[in-house]
Amino acid sequence: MNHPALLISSRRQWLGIWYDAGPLVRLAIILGLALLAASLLAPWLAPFDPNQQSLLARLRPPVGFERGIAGHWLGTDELGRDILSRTLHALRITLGIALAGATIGMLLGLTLGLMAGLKGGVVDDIIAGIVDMQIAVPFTLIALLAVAIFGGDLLVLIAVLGISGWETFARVVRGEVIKMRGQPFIEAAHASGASAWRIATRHLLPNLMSPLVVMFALNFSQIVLLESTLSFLGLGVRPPTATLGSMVGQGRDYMPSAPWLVIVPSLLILLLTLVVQLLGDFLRDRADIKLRRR
Amino acid sequence: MLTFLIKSLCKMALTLFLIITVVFFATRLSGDAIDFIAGEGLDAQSRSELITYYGLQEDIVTQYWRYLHSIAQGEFGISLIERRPVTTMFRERVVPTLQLIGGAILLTLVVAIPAGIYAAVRRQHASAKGMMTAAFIGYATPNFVLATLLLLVFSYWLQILPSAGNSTWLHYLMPVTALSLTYIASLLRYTRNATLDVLGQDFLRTARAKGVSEREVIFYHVLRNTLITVLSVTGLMVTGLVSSGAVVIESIFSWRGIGDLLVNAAIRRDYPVLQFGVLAVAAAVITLNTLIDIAYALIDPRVRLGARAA
Repeated sequence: MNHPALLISSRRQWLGIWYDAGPLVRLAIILGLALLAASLLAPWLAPFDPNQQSLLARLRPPVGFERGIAGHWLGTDELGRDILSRTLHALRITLGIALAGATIGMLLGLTLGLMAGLKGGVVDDIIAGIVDMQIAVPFTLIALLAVAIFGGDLLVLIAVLGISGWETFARVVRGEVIKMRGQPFIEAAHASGASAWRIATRHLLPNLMSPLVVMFALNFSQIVLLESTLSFLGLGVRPPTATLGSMVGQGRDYMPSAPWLVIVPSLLILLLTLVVQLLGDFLRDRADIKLRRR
Repeated sequence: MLTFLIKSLCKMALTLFLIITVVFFATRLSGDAIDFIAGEGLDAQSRSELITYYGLQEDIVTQYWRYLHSIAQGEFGISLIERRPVTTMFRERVVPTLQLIGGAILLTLVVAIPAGIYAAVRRQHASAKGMMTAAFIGYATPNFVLATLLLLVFSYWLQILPSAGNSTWLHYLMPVTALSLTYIASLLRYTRNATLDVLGQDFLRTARAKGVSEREVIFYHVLRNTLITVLSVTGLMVTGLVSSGAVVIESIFSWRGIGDLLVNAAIRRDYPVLQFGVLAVAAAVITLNTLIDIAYALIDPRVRLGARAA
């Protein structure tokens, strides 16, 4: 990984992404980086402690509306907590969970996909059977069952989200490995006595990087959606910690009188999913074009 | 064809059996089963009674065998909260869910297929481009966000649509729309791509060359060929609708269907209800997928011979 040629090529790739992007995608890249920065800097950007209650300033609308209080830019919730601060911290947690979940899914799918592709035979059949099962049981149900058995908890949520996407990784990796298996460079590695592990890490993995990045991006957007859905239903992290989905879910009860409780996190979820989806699609199309050129 | 049928059915049975097994062991291996079956704060007397009732003193293989046995007899357990057989609870909830999903499928097909073909045929036109942008935004919008915003606007601000229940046709508008949006967006994109593929084919040039009118080209040649591709995607969509979509939407609009039942069961940790829910939905999904495979085999002989493209 720390090979100098690889570093240069990855730097070039980043520049290439910016170069290939149209104006809309460039806007999405900038917005994405801004959201990332906002989530990383949340503790410093947020004007208040996200869980600090203030019973005298409950359900106040955003600044500029009647009864709004200076300082609480986006208003306060039913316990007088600052919505801007809560949203920033929620964004941080949402992104953190999605990152952890997508990484688990990628590692799991990569391992099983490599095994299925390299070993073939019984191993392949078993893994194909597990994939079939995963497809048959809708993911929301797996999540509901997991919550019923283990209870709602941050780690349970991450684990559940991690297993939600592995099967896409496994299928694509398996297909790519089977395609590569017959090629001369793999045969040469076999002939020179390389172990399966060495072939997988040194010869196959570098060639899998491009589809992996694309799938990671697409899976990440799916996980953001899933996480916010589960949190919305009250099955995610425990209060008072908030994610964007749980803020919408809890704000529902105050919708007629204090609509900003749901509007602020809803719009941020919308922005987040749009940006992530746009970047994922862009990376996918870009990789496709390259595949076609080859 | 018969071999293919038998193969599909065997695979279906095997997958279902594996799911039953995995669900059983997952719940047993996660700790002392009695703790989530009976909840906390149980005295020793009733605890041991419950252990005997559920047969938990026996070894796991015997329990598994008994579990399979009771499933074969159609007994899937009793809800911990409502103390009723879970099968009865599901039976009461099936119809509203089917109505909701049926409405969503109908709306999706009626909107997405014509719009997708239009977007492909007039792909340079501004209206088609706007349509694709709308489809992209629709695809990225989580359905609970859309549902919440719809509720806010139409039930609370404008006060023209009811927010909960399913007694009149007005009650269907928001849930069906919120449920369909993602699927409309994705089917629209699929239909457009499928149509673009068809539009580039030689037989269309032949048709136009021999003087077939443009209208006939679109409605006869393009539509039929597009539909073959679209059929497969529709099958996958139904799967998504049955499961993920309906769960969230029912919960938001207090729709007394299976999704609402499952979410409440998860919140109250009513574990037998969920166990049956997973099995029932998995069975439905597997049956549906098998039917789609069979339909495919009927249409395309290559599939029967095992040469289906990945």
